[in-house]
Amino acid sequence: MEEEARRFKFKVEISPHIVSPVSVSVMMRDVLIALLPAFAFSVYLWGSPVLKVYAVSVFFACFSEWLFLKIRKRKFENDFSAVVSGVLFAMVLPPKIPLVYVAAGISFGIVFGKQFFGGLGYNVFNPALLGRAFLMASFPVAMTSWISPLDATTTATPLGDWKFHHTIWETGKLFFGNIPGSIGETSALLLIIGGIYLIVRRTIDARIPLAYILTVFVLSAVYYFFDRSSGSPVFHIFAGGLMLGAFFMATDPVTAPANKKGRVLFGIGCGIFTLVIRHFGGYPEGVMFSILLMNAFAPLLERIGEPKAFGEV
Amino acid sequence: MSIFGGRFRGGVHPPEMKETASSEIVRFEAPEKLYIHLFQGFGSPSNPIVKKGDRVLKGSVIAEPSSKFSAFLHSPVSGIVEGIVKWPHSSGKMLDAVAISNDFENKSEIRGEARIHDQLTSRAITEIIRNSGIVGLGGAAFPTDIKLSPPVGKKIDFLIVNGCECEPYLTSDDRLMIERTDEIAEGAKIAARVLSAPNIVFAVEDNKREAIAELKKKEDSRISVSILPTRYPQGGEKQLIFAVLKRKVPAGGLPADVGCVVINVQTAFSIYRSVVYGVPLYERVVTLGGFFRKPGNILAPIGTTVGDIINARGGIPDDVDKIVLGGVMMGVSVSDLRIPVAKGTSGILLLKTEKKKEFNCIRCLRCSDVCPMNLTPRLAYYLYKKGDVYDGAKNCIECGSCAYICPARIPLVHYLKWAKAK
Repeated sequence: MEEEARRFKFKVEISPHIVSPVSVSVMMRDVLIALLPAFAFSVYLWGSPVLKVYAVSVFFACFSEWLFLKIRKRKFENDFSAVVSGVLFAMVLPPKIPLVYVAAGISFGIVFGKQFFGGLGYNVFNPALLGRAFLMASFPVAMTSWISPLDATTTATPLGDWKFHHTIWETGKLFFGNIPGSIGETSALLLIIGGIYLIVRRTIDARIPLAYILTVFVLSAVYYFFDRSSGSPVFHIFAGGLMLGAFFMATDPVTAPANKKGRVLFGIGCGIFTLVIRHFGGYPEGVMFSILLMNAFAPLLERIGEPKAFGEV
Repeated sequence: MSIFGGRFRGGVHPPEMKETASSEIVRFEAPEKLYIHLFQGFGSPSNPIVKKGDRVLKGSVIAEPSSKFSAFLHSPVSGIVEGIVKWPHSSGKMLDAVAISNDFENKSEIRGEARIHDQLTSRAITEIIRNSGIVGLGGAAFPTDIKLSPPVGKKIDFLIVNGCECEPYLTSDDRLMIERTDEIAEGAKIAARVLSAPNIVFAVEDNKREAIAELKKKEDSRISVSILPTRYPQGGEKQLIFAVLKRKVPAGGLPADVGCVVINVQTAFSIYRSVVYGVPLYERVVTLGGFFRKPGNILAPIGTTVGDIINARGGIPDDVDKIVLGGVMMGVSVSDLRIPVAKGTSGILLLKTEKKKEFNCIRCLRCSDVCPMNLTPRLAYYLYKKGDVYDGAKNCIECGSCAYICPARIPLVHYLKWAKAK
């Protein structure tokens, strides 16, 4: 009898019966770990007020997701993806951004960019970037008011200076990040460290940032060859939000094409659009729009290069 | 040897968990009742030739093949046939099985002395192998005599003896290679003679040092040992051939298309036993792993129920909630302790599972990265949800690497098997 009762105790599931320890939540936590150096540096640069920006952004990312799911009568489960969106969103904002804009922007990004499509895994656009595009369109003045690090005086970003005043900042400063700009984008070095960590952990595909950064480098080198005032290739890869965008935004697997060739093309496309906007657009920086544009192309790029099975000719 | 080989595509490296690697193989005494399924996991079920009340001896034929892809079955004990009964099978169904009641007299119809086999023709040897009911013991249970009779016109230059045992937990092949090296080598030579294959390669993963050391002693002008890095699914036929010889078996083709035949080490051992001593396949080495109170490796009679083995080994610890026959990557989980050991059962594992939280697919591409067949497992899931069939699934070897690595914990093997069946 006892044996009879025990028989139904055992689970019958499809193989395999073990799974790797890396779940979606672990991948999201990896992204947060990778952002830590840049986060710490941003607090050093802009002081404690930016902590409020981070807090509001993360809180409203989770809250809007929770609320939306509540209305849809679905269960909210914290898989850390909203936290990642919240932190990334804070990092692409100017340090002096009013907190109410932060709340509005990230809520827009999460609700319209992510939950309207069905939540994590179904979104077409990167929620953090969509939120930023929304703020850019709605509150252009607040989104383009920059301050100097440490002393908080009003200034222009290196890309703004390059575009509107034709002055070039020195490369060392751009690389280490003691420059005006969005909260978390300034230090190329720390973002590269975080990016390498994600590549080593296989959380992101190295193809995207490499294709992206190389494209920007090569194209701006060609341009620089013909026009010395266009900014050197080194300037273009270290200035603005390229490192943050290339390692942390364009690599979002959900909004990038899901095959290898597609991802290379995706990175190249981002690079081309970034430079087109920087050189010929109205804005000094093109990273955000280039990634959003390429997000829309991702499903198309996915059709290219479906792999062949082993042994197939 | 490995200088000719390559690294097979994809793959994963799950925790090895080979805790029973130093447990010597011990004979498991046949219990009172044995149930031998007519369907052993491959091809068509065999036809029973015994009926209720018949007396059988150890080694007596109890069922005949019903087709080319079917095998002879033999009684592992002497005793009385209790009849053909519907009995729980690892597939979850109730299938016909020959029930035998053991009389514990251990009377055998097998000759004791060694047979001189050097003069036997290939045909005669495959006949012995077929009559002994030998099938692939790596798990697939494909009839060995068919494997040793490749299509006419295909020249076989390499016999690969598969000792990779890339599945976590399992150590039955490893132990056999250590303890029965001579027999395995002889069995491989017999198989190579049947195939007229000039070269024999023992393929072993580098985590089996002792087995490698033993096999190295057998190396000569035609026998070599290929030491491969530990990676799953190294033991997959197509992956192994690529890893050892860098030859690609065409999609939908056979190893014979690239001049290879792969047999498992236990199959080689069984070939030796049948050809030299006339012992048919009625027992096999099974690893008892995971949370067994007394883990180890046993030589278990085919037809012994899982429950009998577990009881003899101290019962089931309370928090065990999954029983797996085979390995953790490809084995089947069962809920019924009456299910018997079959020819393809390489292990019995008692596992404690964690509740898996499923997420939406985030298109991270890890499933494609690890797929040894270069498929896109994600598509099987996407297309299934659309009511469509993923065509690439026909090449799937069901190794489970994709579902193992999937951070969203999607049971991709389920969708692939579904698409494959369509």
